[in-house]
Amino acid sequence: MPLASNLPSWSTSAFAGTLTALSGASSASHTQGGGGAARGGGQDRHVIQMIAHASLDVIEEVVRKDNAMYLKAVDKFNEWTVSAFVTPGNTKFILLHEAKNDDGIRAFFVDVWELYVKAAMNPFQSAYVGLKSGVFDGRVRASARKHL
Amino acid sequence: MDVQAFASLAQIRILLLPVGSIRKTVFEKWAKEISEFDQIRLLDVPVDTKDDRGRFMPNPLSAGYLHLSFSRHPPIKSQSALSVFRISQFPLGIVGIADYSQKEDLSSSLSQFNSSFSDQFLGASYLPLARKCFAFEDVDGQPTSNPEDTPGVVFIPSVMGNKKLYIGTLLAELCSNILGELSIMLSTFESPPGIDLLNSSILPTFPPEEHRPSVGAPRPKFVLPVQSSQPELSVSSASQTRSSTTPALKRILTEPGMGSDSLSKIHVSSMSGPSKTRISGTGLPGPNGRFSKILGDCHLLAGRTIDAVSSYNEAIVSLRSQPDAIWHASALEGLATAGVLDAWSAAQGLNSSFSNAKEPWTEFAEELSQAVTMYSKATPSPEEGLQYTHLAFLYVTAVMRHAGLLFSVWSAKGWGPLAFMTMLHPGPHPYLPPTITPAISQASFHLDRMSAISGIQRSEISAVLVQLHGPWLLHLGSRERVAVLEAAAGIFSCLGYQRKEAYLVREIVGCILDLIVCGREESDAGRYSALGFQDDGSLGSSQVGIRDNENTSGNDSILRLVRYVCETHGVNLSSVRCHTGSGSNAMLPSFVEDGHMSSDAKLIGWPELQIGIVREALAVAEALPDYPAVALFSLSALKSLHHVLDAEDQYHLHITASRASATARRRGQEQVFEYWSGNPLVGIEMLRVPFGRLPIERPVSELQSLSQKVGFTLPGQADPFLYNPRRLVGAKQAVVVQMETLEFVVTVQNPYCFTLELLAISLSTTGVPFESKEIPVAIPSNSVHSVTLSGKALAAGVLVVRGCMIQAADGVKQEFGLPISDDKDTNYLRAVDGVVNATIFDARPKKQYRKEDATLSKRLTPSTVRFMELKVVPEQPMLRIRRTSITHGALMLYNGETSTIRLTLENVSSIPVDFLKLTFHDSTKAHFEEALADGGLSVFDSYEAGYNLIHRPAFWWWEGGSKQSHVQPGKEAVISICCRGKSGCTEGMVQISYSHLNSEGSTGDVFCTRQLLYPVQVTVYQMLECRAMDLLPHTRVKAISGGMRDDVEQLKALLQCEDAGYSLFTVDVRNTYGIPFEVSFIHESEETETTSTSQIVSPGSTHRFILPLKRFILPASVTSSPIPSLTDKQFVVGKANLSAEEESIQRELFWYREELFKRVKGRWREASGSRHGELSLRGQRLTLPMLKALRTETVRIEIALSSQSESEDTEKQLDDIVNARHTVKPNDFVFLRSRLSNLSASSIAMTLSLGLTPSEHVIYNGDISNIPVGRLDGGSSKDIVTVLCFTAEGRYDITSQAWMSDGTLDRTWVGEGVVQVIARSGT
Repeated sequence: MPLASNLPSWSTSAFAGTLTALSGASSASHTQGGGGAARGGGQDRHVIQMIAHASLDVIEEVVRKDNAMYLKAVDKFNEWTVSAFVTPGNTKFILLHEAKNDDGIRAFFVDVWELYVKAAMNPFQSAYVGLKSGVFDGRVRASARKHL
Repeated sequence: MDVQAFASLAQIRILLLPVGSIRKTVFEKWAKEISEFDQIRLLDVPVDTKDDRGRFMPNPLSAGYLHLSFSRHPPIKSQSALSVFRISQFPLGIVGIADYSQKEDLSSSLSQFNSSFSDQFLGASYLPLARKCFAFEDVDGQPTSNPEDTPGVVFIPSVMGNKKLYIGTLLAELCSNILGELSIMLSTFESPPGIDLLNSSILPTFPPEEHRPSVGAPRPKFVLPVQSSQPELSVSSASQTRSSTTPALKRILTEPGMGSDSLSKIHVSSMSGPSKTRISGTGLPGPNGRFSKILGDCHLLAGRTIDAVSSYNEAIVSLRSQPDAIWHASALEGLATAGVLDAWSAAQGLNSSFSNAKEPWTEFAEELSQAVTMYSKATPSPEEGLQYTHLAFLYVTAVMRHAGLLFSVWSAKGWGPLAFMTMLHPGPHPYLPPTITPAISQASFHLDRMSAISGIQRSEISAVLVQLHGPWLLHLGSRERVAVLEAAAGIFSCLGYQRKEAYLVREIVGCILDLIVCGREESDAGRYSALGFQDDGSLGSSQVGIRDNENTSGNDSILRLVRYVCETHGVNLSSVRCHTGSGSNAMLPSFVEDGHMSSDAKLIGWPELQIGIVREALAVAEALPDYPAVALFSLSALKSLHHVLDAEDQYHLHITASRASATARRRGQEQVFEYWSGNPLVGIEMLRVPFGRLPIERPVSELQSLSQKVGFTLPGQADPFLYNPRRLVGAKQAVVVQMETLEFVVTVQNPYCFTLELLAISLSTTGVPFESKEIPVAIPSNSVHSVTLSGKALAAGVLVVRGCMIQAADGVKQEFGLPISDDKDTNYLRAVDGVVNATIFDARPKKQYRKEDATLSKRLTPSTVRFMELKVVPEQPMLRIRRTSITHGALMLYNGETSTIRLTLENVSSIPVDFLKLTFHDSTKAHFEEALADGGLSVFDSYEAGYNLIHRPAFWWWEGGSKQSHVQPGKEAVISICCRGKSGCTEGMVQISYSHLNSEGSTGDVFCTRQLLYPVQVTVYQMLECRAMDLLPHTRVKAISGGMRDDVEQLKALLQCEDAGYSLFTVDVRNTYGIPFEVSFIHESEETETTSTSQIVSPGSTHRFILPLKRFILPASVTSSPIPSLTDKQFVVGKANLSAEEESIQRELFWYREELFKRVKGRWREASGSRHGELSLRGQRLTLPMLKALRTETVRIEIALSSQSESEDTEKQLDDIVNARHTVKPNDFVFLRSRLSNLSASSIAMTLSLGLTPSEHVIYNGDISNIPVGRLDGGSSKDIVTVLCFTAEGRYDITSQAWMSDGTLDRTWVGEGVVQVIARSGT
């Protein structure tokens, strides 16, 4: 996959944060085990998470004006394009992707939304606690394989 | 790289340098003074036209401005390749600032100043174009030499009045020099060698050093033909001498209103060259384009925007056709800058707002975005001189320029003077425009409003700015990288995009740390070798400890950034407060919460991300190294993130914190933390004082009533328990005794996965002084642990237990309060509220905290918080039971038997006992008390119950013994207690209350007693049963058959009482026990002598006891009084609705029964032993016929029968057979004589009624009912004779009833006589 398709042509080396090197040294338990797939092919997981987190700024602003649930390519950071999906309950799904796959992403988000609603209907599930359902995880993965 | 304003392309950069040994403050002062000149009017710039310098000199009438920017840093060497491409990036002038008052030779300083250029500007050796040295005289200083003597120095004496004006003039002069030099420099490129030079590489540089002399000296002129790509740019080949005047003359103000040079055609003054030929249109388009671009740059610098626009347009036209992207892009940038400057000067002149349909800035924005795209598409070619670093720099700068344009317009709320202000002269805080305050950037509606006004969405600015970030940032030099990131972060912050800002800030920290670590490694290597250690690994730092003198300046700022990043991600790294310097005895404001860790409900942010961020923060703090911060961060993370941290991380953080604080302590950075694991306190419970030590409060009134109180008082609250623990809990204050040890069970929790060690835990109390020891505790992981703390109150009063003082390792002692929650429901609601308020990915947790704090403080106002309160009473004596007279505490009694227990009490305290009170409880009591408290009993039954409780207690204090109530310290006292066998009693309890009343502290209306309890196990044998008590009217018995037996004889003797005023009391006594008992019944009364009957009742047998009883009468005043209530209940409402008649009968029965039991007493005695007791008749009932037999009638009627009337014999006979059985012959006339005797004291009018059954066989004369008797005086008697004839054989019952009549129809029965007659015809 052309990693840097969104980047200037002369950009060759990937941005490797020095901080990650530092933090890796501080704790051995850095690799997250079964929690989630190692996204972003070798990229630091936290950096990706931070990009997703940072894009909430833009999403929150856009949501205030835009009623659409699917926010296509709402933000960009480094090589990542951020698309988001805001449910009526103001839960936000954020997807970092490189390639353009508008229809696939939309279908994926709708799938995830349905799965999320099903998971959230569990009376033991609180909106303030992370969703730790293996079934949900697996189905989201399946949907991702199908659409993305 | 200094902060670049949007218009940096149009700013003449001037470097301020200190000269000589100037103090920093002085330098800063003057540098600030100079820096205030950020623009100079073209009019003020002296025109210097000699030596071809006049090319960029301003028109004398032009109204434009030169824009200056000042920097303190020399340019970076690596960027020297840009010295031609972007000349504005480099300082064009240098101003040296010298302190003239310093006692040193100014000239030497000056030479040093001059020589420093060669070091500073190695690459761009052509620069700077001009320099000046200002020597400021301070007030206190004596010049060592005359500054006027030193050439190249401008002396500014302290006495000079308007220094500012002077400095302005000097700066204008400097600018004039710069402009002159600029035109000379440009002339270099106008020759074919110059063009070649420009074309030689993508980023051409100035000719090398040897081609040029040093600055200031006259430059050799390149002999180059002037060339111009465009025909209209024809060069007026004026002579050099003329050119000194012509440029000014040739420039014609076509648009005076625009106020700037507005020549549509640029006249490029040719350099003074021997050949004045012109190559027009034949030159390569590239160099022409590049030259035009440089020309445009220079025009822009010189404030001639119209010229600049033209040059740029020309450059763009020529560059478009060839792949010279970065030159093209740069020209576009310049064009946009020129456009903005134009607009600015227009606005400056007109001060008008723009009302165009299309926003004017869109054009510039498009140009800039085009430039950005071009930069990003450029191909780096190191062989041609275009390094990655330069390209990245240019690209990033262009992005910043683009973003800066949008941001300025947005922040200035539209295109206007404010926006220009931001773009041109941003001042000291370039990224915090005046319209944005921190408060505004927090409120989204403000930000949205600004977007609406300016027409620029924040996301647009963000989209532009985000382009800046990418891997290429690594190509930039460290300083540039930090500056770019800083600038971008600043803009994001103003946009309200805190999360993006945090991301960039995190990278800034990374860059800075990189520098720190690298720098340290370098210096380490140097130092080790300097110390003589071979860096071959044989002598590692592990063997030789080298303590560096660390430079910690700036650490705080880095940590502040780290904290900010964490805060944005919802982790408060300062949640644990830290106190440095103060000792561990420092007290913190107390932490009061209702039992639960408040952070439980809050979960803000993305846990995985937060953990990563915290790890980074720790890494940063460790790398600095700042050990206090490491400890602080670790502890804060533990506090705020312990819900999401796994065990390994928790342990790691804990170890890190303890290690860091140990290191910090070793290095003298003493610091203490407040307790960090939330509220460890779960509960405090006072251990119950043993009952014997428990003081019980009693009202003082009890003391007074004690002496006269005999009766029974039922306590208001029916509590069947001797000691009810619930009563204590419900009470607001527990009572404890001064100087006696109290024990509290403190429950603490540890939510972490490691053992939490508390250095000290002690009780926190207010009120009376409390002496307690603090103890260390280790709480096992993930558990709740209980600790027992003890202490004693030193004075009497109220002791408030607020909570605990807890000190963790490296922590400050802190109080944790534990208020008593009064309302569980509100707590619950509050907890629910907390959950709802928390938002999971909230961007601004700070606001939430604030809100939370407010509610917390509201909750903790003193009025609402209550703590455990204990009442401490003065010291109390202590008694113990030394010995008793019964073994095993058990007592075996027959029913009705009385026994005595002796208790020996010993005073084991040093305080005398002067109050002693015994209370007794037994197992039968509860039943009666409950029945009484229920109130369901009839009046009669409740009397019985009360009687049982009061007059027949199971235990009582024996009056015969000395009722001493004083026990001196160390002495003993004996008390005797009587015990009665009551059937159903299984156990009893002696409760001894004692106190020291005359203690000085005892004031108020209560006093305290302590109690001793002595339980007694009681076994009561029920051996004799009374039943079927009866009372019969006494009939004289002449002969009783079977007179052989003793008992019959005895009975006969008993029944031989003459007087008719007797009745027979009979009762059956059954022996249900295994041994015989001798039972006796005794009749005692004042009137008669005591009679008794006694008999041995064998086991299993029943014996009827018969006892003649003297009949008696109770006065009406007694019998009509109500049945007394033995309880203190006042309003007893009878359940049964009795009529008045029934009630009077009931009362009569009651009182006669009471009297009967007073007179007749049953006793028993073991037939073969000495044990004795009494036999209670209380279970027996008195019926109405029995009452009749018992009560002395008012009128006695004696009936006699005789065959003759009125004879002496008859009299005799009558006496014999009175009230007995008679035998008469049938069909004989019989005289029935009824003698009525009034036994009462008053005279009664009465009638007599005879009853004859069977009446059909009796013939009589006259009326037999209501025979008037008349009034009989008290004590007198009267005979009424009636003649009868029995017509048949058989038995007849004759009753004669006397009725008292008081003139009305009502009559009252007053007496009765009965006789049985047998009518028999035989003899």
